[in-house]
Amino acid sequence: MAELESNYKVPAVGIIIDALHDLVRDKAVEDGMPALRLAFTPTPVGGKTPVELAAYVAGDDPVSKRPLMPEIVGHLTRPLSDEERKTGQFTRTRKRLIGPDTAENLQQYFDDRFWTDQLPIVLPTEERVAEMLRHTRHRPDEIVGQIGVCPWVPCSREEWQYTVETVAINAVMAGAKPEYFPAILALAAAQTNPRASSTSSMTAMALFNGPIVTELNMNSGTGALGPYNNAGALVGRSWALLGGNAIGGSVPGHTYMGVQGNPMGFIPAVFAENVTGLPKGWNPFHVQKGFKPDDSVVSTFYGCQSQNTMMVLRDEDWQWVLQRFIGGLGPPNRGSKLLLIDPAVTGPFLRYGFDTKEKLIEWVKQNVTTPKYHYWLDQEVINYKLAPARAGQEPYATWLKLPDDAPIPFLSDVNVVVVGGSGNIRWSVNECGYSNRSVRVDEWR
Amino acid sequence: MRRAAGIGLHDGVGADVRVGFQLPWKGSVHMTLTTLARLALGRTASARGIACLGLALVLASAAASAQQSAPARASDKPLFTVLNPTGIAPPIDLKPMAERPASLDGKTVYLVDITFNGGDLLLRQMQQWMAANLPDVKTEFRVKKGGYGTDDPELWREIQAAGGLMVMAIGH
Repeated sequence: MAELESNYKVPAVGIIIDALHDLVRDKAVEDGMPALRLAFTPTPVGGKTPVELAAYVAGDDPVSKRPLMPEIVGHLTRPLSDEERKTGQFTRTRKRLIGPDTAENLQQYFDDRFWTDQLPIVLPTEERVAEMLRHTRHRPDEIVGQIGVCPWVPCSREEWQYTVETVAINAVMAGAKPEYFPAILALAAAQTNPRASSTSSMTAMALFNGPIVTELNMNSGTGALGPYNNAGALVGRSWALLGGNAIGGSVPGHTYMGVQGNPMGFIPAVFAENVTGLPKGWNPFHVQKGFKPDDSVVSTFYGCQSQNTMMVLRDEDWQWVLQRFIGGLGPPNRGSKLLLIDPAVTGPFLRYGFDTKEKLIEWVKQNVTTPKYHYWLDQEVINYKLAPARAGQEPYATWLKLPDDAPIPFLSDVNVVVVGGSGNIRWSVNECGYSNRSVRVDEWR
Repeated sequence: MRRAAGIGLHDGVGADVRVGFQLPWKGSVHMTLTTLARLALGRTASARGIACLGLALVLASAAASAQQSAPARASDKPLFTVLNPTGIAPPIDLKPMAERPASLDGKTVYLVDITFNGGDLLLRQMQQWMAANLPDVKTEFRVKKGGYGTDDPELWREIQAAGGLMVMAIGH
């Protein structure tokens, strides 16, 4: 909207639900138009009947407390103020050093600004950060990457840069050992944000492959995705703190909008693939992505919202079960699935002909479907796929024209990782999608 | 009496020792220990009496010092200076808003749906309200192309060419 006003000289008003008031005001500042004229409706609009929406229109703006429609007319006709005509540039500075103060006061200061995960941190003194920085040859002021509130880059909101020092500060806060720092830097360089601000509360995961797994004693067995490994937990916590702090803090209502939050994102899972459990023909994930087996690599996954587990497949109905288990996890708009297969259950997959990961992935993409009728009724599909479909973008344009009972193969990004301690014949699926970012750890030593 | 300055002991306890007190009705009072002893113990106060009084004053002074500095010690926690964990915010270029017309009469207001969460239904209600309440204002309903974050320059040029204004819903 800011572009429309300034570039096309079109007077405009944006209508937003009042629950997003803080966020949209922040966005207006980021877009260079702090006084952008906005009006608000009660929350929600989605799911309301025309009669209910007519009442919204006839009623008051819940933020200004003034009648909505006259307010909109006023926004379109009221002369601009001097403030609204302003041009120029301003920068947001920050103090590099904070203190001196007591440890308790500093913890509170950081907590109040949502620079922490509300757990005690290790204070990032200059001495501790310097020790962390000794474990990379990269300069402290070198830019590692930039991220915004989006899970990925480029982001529709502003992106903030972060340096090697920024990463070190957050690693110290997390309690990471200095020898973890190259792995943390590599993960930071993947520019995937586990504290992304989606109302869906999505988060991220990271997978390590190669010699780094042994070097840092990472976990690929029992409890691999849980808090049972020092490197996994502390690299994960460093990553989460960085994700929030790189953008100035993960602040509910401003830079974090997850409607309910997500326990998977408290400390995002950082784990290793169980390479000894890989069946013959199933390559490690990083090799699938073009790396050499002895490359130390971290790969990131985003869009992680939920995970479920089941036991071993049966010959009688494995196809029906796979379709239901994988396809039923989450709405059909989400085209990503990550299959986490314990070594103990790889046998049946091989028996059904999946002697490579790629064959299993292809089968899932072709056979996990949803009927066209239900696909186009899903609100997320309407939000994100309907307009592109009407604009002719494939495959959505074709899917829109199919008969109601036609199967829609909605999965486009499916990946398989072998992980687990084989304590039972269980495996899991979640909705994480590969970010297309895998980074060599050695580049950050 | 409240203790003011500390008691300094010189060569033994005796006539040369001076003590100071703060009297609410008088202010600071200073006198030798001998004089104080004679006032407190009588004109015949012995050297032993003066010494005991002196010792008592010293102990009282020490106790008062301990009381006064106890709060200060509780706040003498170590202080730390730490580094700011946040990233580098990009600069912001302020953009001027578009000038407004004095009235909407004779104008076209484009109601633009970004295909998010029922915004189209809301805009249709707004269109009905404007038809009923602003008869001299024309409205056009449009659906922005692409996803909700996608630009639609073709639509913006249409609105610009028409000298139109825009109401966009529903933001996310």
